[in-house]
Amino acid sequence: MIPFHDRTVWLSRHILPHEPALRAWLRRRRVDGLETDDIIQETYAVLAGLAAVDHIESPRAYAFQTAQSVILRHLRRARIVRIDAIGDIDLLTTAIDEPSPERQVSAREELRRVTELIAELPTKCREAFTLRKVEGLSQRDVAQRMGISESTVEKHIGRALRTLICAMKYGGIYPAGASQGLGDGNLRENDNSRIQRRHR
Amino acid sequence: MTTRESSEDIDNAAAEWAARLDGAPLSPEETLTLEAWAAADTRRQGALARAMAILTHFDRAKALGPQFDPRSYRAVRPTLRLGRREFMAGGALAAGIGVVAVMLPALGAQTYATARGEVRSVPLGDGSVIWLNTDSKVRVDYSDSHRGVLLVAGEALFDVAKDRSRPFIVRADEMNVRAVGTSFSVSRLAGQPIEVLVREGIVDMGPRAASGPPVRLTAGARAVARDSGPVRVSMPGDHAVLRSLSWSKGLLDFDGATLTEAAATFARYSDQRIIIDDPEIARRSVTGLFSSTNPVGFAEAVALSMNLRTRSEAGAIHLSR
Repeated sequence: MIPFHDRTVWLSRHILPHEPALRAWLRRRRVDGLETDDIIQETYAVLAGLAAVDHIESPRAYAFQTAQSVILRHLRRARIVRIDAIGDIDLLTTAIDEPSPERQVSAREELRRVTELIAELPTKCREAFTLRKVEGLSQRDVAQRMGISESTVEKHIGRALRTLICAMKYGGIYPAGASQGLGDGNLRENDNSRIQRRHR
Repeated sequence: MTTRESSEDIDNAAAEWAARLDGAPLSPEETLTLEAWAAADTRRQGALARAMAILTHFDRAKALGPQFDPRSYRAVRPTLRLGRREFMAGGALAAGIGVVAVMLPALGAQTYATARGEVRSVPLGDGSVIWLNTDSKVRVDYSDSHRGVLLVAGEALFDVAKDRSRPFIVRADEMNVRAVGTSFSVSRLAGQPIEVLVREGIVDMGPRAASGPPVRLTAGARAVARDSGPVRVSMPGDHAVLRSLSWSKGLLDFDGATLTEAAATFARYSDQRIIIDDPEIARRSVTGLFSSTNPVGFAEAVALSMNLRTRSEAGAIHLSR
């Protein structure tokens, strides 16, 4: 139930970059009784629980299909299938399997976004997160360096992660040129705040 | 009756568990607690896997190197072209100088083009990125004093890295669009005016042969101009601009477009035509996100949702009752 390290790495490399696009796509589905965040969590559960991922040639298409199967399962359970709900789902099988340009975003751009996100964390939290992720110290060594307890370091990392999870929800932890969910109201909020931050 | 736990609460708990797993190994008791927690709801399993993946994503921050100091991040920023100082200076420069004509000598300039249906990103040496839409062509000419791009045809989105010493100037026909560090698109389509959409920041737009001051455009603005005529500005807003730019993700985003308009848009991306024989059907509107290179899939989706029929022939798909 706790994913192995290599699965975590696979999710981070091959699924996370497509999450903003997947979210944008899901927000248009509007299935009664099922929030986008629910579907995202269910989708990751399926992907984390797969016996193997070597056979997956297009993780993006696979993630979309998984999300779709989550919705279908829900609709079957709900037993009331609205005609437009079916139409929507069929409709989107066509938009799934296309290669898209976001894979070409450079490592440099990604690193820049990572830097921006770290810089926006609260001070102590940022310090702990930087020592852990940039310098690669263990949580124990971070505690020693900062002169605080290990449990406090863990709290800082947890808080940083909560912030980053939230950033993922509103536009992603990838650069603006990457696979952001276009055409969505939340994105607009995110873009505005990004612009304001630059003005600060 | 129990209330369903919100996905946000689950995410928060998952973040704490992921932070815990990131520290020392779990004790047997903790392992049991975590497994019991995760077993109660599949969403929790997904949220935990996702939280761990996000934390792993930040391992790439190691590339920043040990000299990266969070306390003096401001000092690091300028080298990343994100600094406040640079931004302000850039703004001042943009305010102080009008639109300058760009000479684009053929020598040393680099040309990039896309075929019909292709969308391509072109990373440039200064960190800027050009996203070329279908059937488009640009010529890039960078020098020490300016960054010039000629939009020969089609449509392109420019994510411009800030460089106060070298303004970024896009020329399309008789128009110049000038930025220091921002994100905007310019389109030059046959029979249509030059159109500029501003996604972020500020750009100045005006005729190349400057007859007056350029028009300043802010995020969410749309501007059109024919030849060297007046620049007409409207404010569709950030959201509408983003939707219009979804082509850069290989998608077309229709919001109440008529089927005629949608068919015309698809025709830019594919040789496969969508033909609507019935004028009543042609006026119906469509909303949704579609793959730009799949007109057949679009037609079939529309047929399905509007209870229409499709008929394929060489190079075309017909929509009818």
